[in-house]
Amino acid sequence: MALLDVRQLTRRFGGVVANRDVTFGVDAGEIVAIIGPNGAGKTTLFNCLAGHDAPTSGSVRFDGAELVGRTPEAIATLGLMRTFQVPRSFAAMTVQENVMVGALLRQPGVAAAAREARRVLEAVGLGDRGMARAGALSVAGQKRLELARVLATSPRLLLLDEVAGGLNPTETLELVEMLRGIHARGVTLVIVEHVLEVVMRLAHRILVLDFGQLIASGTPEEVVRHPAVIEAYLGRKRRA
Amino acid sequence: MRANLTGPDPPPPLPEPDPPGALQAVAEDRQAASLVGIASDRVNAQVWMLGSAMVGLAGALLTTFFYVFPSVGAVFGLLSFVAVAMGGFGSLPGAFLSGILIGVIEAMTGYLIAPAFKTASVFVAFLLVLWYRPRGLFGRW
Amino acid sequence: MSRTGAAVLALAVVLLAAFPLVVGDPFYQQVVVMMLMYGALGAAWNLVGGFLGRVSFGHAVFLGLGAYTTLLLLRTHVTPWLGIPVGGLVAAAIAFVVGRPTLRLSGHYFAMATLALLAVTHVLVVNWSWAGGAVGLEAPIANNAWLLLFRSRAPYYWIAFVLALFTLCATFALARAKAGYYWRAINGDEAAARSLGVPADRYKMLAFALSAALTGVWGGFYSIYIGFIDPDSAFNLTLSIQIVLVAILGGVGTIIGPWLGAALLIPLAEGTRIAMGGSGSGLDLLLYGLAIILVSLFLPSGLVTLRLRRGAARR
Repeated sequence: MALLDVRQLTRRFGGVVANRDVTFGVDAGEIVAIIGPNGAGKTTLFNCLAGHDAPTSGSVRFDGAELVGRTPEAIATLGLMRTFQVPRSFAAMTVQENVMVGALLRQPGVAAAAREARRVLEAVGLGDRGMARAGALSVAGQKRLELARVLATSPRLLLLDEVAGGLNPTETLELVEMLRGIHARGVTLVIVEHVLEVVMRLAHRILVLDFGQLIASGTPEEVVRHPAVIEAYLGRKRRA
Repeated sequence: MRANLTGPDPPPPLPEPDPPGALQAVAEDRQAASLVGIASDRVNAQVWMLGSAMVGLAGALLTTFFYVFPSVGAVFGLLSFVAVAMGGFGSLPGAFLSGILIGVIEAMTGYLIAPAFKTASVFVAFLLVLWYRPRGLFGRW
Repeated sequence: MSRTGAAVLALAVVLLAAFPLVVGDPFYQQVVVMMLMYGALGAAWNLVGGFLGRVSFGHAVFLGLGAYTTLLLLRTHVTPWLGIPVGGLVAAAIAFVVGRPTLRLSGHYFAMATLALLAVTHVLVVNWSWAGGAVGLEAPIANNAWLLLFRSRAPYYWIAFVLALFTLCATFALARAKAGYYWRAINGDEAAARSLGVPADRYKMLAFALSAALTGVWGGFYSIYIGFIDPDSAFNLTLSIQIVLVAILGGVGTIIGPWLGAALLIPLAEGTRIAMGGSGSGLDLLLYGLAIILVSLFLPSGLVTLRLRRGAARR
């Protein structure tokens, strides 16, 4: 049985159909990437999966449990975590305190949460910035903090919304390694990405969204050759 | 500025007037407004000035039927807060409408129930509005 | 907390404990008691106003509820030893009932809603003759430790001191516990907090109820200290605003802030009132207002930043 089972997910905003009959499954231990041009409905999809938004129709099952209708915090407790496209840190709190908020979900107390937070911060490379104010971090730092925060909750499935955006080539490679390490520890990853380098290196499977609909699904090699995908990104080939 | 070898320097240019919508911009996001060149502090001061002037005018008009004493402002201050909140923050028609509504509620309560409950009924009405519309009647945020 | 900070705090506690032994003048004792009370009220308010970030302008309503509960129970011969904690519980219960619809409101509306609650409760109590109506309630004059009523003022100082210590420890413990982190997270970004599994509704209610309970307990103390309460003094908007002022001026969202704010504002208010209030020139109020303006201008994050700044320079 798939860990994440999305069926006929549709989200309408009045006349605009942001997601139409989106159906896919993600097995435990997979790395699935969702790509698509801007405005394809990727973040809307994430919002519906994580409970920040309610789909107009359709069902989302996580480990058998129906997620539609649950609050974001209830879904988080089940082990499905998401990061935000624009990092939303708790700006007034320190970096370590930010991660502790995540850790407190599973850790039995504040001291244990602090230990876990320090461990996770080391793992993402923010080990020496623990006492800095979260609002003072650079964009790259804030993205790492976003990642560290959800990691501290010991998630089962991570929805990562454009974690690689705005990183230079070195940072991008570091990120890929980090994600590989997270995956190796048993976390299922579903990533929305524009940076194809990350997608091609990591994804077992790619889903392509365009105008709210799933237009292709398959291995990276299959998808980049798929005519509908090429058309979605580059437009129909014109005659010379 | 070109170097002036003869004669006095030209006078410094006048400060640019704020673009239309500056007030809305500052209200939504002060930092972003500053980034596009809007002097947020100046806009703040202008708004305070305008608002205080209008209230002063209202106060002057009030003297024809209300007696004047040092803390007369406090009586109306609280109700005006409620008027704005009930109408919804960010909505001028809302504030105007609820101001009228408050006057009506006060008068009706004083007449139908008892003068002692006038102000309380306004607050009760306010709480009821918030129950059904957590952003006031026409609130933007 | 830094070691110097802890040392200064310990010194302050010792000085306050020894104060009535050294200074016998009941006026000065009253000033310190009021200082301790407002500091504690500010600290209690801070739980919901500072950490959680929901400014409440109507907190006096919980003070009044605690005060009325204590005196009403005293009338039926229930000792304030019981009445004061029950006052706190009543305040917490009302907070629970009232919190459900109000805590989902955003900041500005929440502040106005608490004001509305204060005003409505005021009118309700004025019209309840069984609770004394507009005349109010008074505590009997007695010298009975069992009833927590004394002829001299000194024992009240000790009660206030112990309650203040309790309030300080309680707020300190809460700030460093899971609740403190969750509250500050909700304040920072509620949606992001929820996405990390923070049960925001439950914790918002917790802050509100605990804050109300502490305020209610102090309301109970207030009622037997002053010996008399009426709707105008118990459900008083000025008192409510004074609490907010003390907390914000001292440093919103910090543990020590409200106590510093009270240490500045209360002696200033009482001192100027005694020295200049009688002349009718209003100079005392002017100085009070001036102090507030000066602190807001130069220490916008509160008096607490005085200490932090010095610490930063030393590093």
